[in-house]
Amino acid sequence: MIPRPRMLAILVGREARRLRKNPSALLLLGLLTAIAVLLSLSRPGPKPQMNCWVVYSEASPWTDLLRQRAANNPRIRVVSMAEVKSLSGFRVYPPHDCVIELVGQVSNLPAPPEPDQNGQIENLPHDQKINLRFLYPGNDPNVIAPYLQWFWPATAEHFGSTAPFAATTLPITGTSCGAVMERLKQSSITELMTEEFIATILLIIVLFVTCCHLQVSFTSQDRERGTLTALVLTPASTTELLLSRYIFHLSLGWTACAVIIGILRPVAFAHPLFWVTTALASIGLVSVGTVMAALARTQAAAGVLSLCYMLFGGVIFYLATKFSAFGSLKDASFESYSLPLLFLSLKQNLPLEKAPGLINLAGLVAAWTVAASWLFRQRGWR
Amino acid sequence: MSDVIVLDQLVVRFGRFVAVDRLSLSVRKGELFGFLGPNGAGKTTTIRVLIGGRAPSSGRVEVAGLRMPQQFDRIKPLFGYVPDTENHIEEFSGRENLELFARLYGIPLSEVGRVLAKLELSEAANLPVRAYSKGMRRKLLIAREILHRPRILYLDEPTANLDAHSTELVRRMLRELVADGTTVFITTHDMQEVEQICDRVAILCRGKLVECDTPTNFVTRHAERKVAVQYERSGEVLRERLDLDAEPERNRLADIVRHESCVRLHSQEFQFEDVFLKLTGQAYT
Repeated sequence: MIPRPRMLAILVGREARRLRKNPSALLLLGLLTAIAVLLSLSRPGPKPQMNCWVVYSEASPWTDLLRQRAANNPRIRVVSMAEVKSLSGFRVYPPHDCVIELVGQVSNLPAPPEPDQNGQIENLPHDQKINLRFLYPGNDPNVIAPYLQWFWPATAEHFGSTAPFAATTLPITGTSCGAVMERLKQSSITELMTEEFIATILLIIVLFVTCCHLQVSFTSQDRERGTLTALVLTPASTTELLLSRYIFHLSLGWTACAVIIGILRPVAFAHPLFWVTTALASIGLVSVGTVMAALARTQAAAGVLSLCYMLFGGVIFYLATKFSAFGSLKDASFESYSLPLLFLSLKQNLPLEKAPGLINLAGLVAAWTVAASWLFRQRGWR
Repeated sequence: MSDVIVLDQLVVRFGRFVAVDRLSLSVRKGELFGFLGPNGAGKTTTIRVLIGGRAPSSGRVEVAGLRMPQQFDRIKPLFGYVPDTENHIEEFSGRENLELFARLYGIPLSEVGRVLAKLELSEAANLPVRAYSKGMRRKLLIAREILHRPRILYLDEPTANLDAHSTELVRRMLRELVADGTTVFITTHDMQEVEQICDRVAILCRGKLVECDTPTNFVTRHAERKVAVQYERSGEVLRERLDLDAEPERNRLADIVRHESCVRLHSQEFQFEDVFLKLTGQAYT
């Protein structure tokens, strides 16, 4: 029988009114949204624009090149150390600006030796190296990164790959800090990871709550009370009843995801992979919820089954990292594809055809949906 | 009158346990049919088969000329089912519950008010169902199932938890439905109810049909003529219950009337309940 839109509208409306009268579910959704809002508020905002002083101890063709490259950027000023004010032997810079100090006799440098296999030159005596000091305000070395992106290409253009530098990076307040590039690299990756990882985890939780947990809870409650039987005995068909539940939980899940992503990572709205993965993952979760509600006779049993599903999934994921034998079992769960795909879709706009495992995800979700539909008709409402 | 419900050699098994054993009966159109039996006799299981909630293990089930469960989708708009446990949407008010079902059946919402009034629930219509008393919940259930004016109405103990007034209200309503041509199939433990409202009664015991007839025929066929006599001897009051169909007990009654000081003498009329207990093998000895 073809589902009738009027019946679907009535049944979806009933689910929506029921959710409205279910404060605990609404509270949970509100809590997740509040977490997203808090995360977005605690995210560092855009830094105020700062200038960068490139200060050299001795003029050379290199500093001329730097000055030439800085001509188009009003925030970069290439000056001689003599032009900088000093106090008690310490140079004084404006408090919120970055500084790149080039200290050394560039003109007296000997011909650089051949670099080692790593491209490093370590055999020069210290006094024959140019000392670079990167100074930045506050404790976040990332603030100097845009100027380094300007500085290193211009420097490499002059010296090639054999530039004899000894570099240190210091907060402008004078506290010491670790190796420059490594720290920069680590911080930026960690920051990027955290934001997208948290967004992915929040999405999965939201999808699990709206599509799986609520579906299990509502359906098993209806079944235990006998309401499902009463609804099935009306002119609404079992297909319409099941479809209305899918429509309601998917709409709820997608709306909640859109809110979370709108708060945390709005750029993902433009990523087709995000929508496709969210759609597949949510359909899969509603199907899993339907299967669990059909297998469990009571709401309490369905709740336990839902918890077992989560724990079992976690154990399988853990075992798969330790023993290869569990790898295939992990691959049989659609979460092993939906999680990384969601993460990827938040990170970059990957074309659908290049998304790894998307076909597998679609196949597994289809299998769960067929199983859910069959089980619901056979025993889900009785 | 044509048969609306036909059960032919119906068997329902739960594993090895046979809940309904080769049950054959038919219910006529516009009949109020009572389905009786002690607890665990298979009454609810039979109703579940009739509403499509359980597939029969074997046998034939026809409702309004259609095969169950094969033609379930065509049969289900024809009947209403009042289960033995309430299955309301607890979060909704009484009116919201009925309005949802009215929309699903495609009937005007004005019908909701009419049915609520009929079952004297208009005042509580806007209260959440969870605030209803047991009796009110029962009446709301009946209201929901008569909303779409079904051709067949199955009721599993409809007057359980109802006060005397509401019980009378429901019985009168059922008689009205039958008068309008609705077939009513009812299970109950209230024997007085059976005698008062049922056109025919089937007694089920351990999944098997014991007998099926009108309540009057049941009583006529199984009636036992008994007399309770109370007499005084040496200042002490004695009581005896005597069966008039047994020669020695008839003689004993004559002796008491002739020689003792008889205080009270009552004929004990046989009730339908006695028939039920006798037939289900639990009659008092």
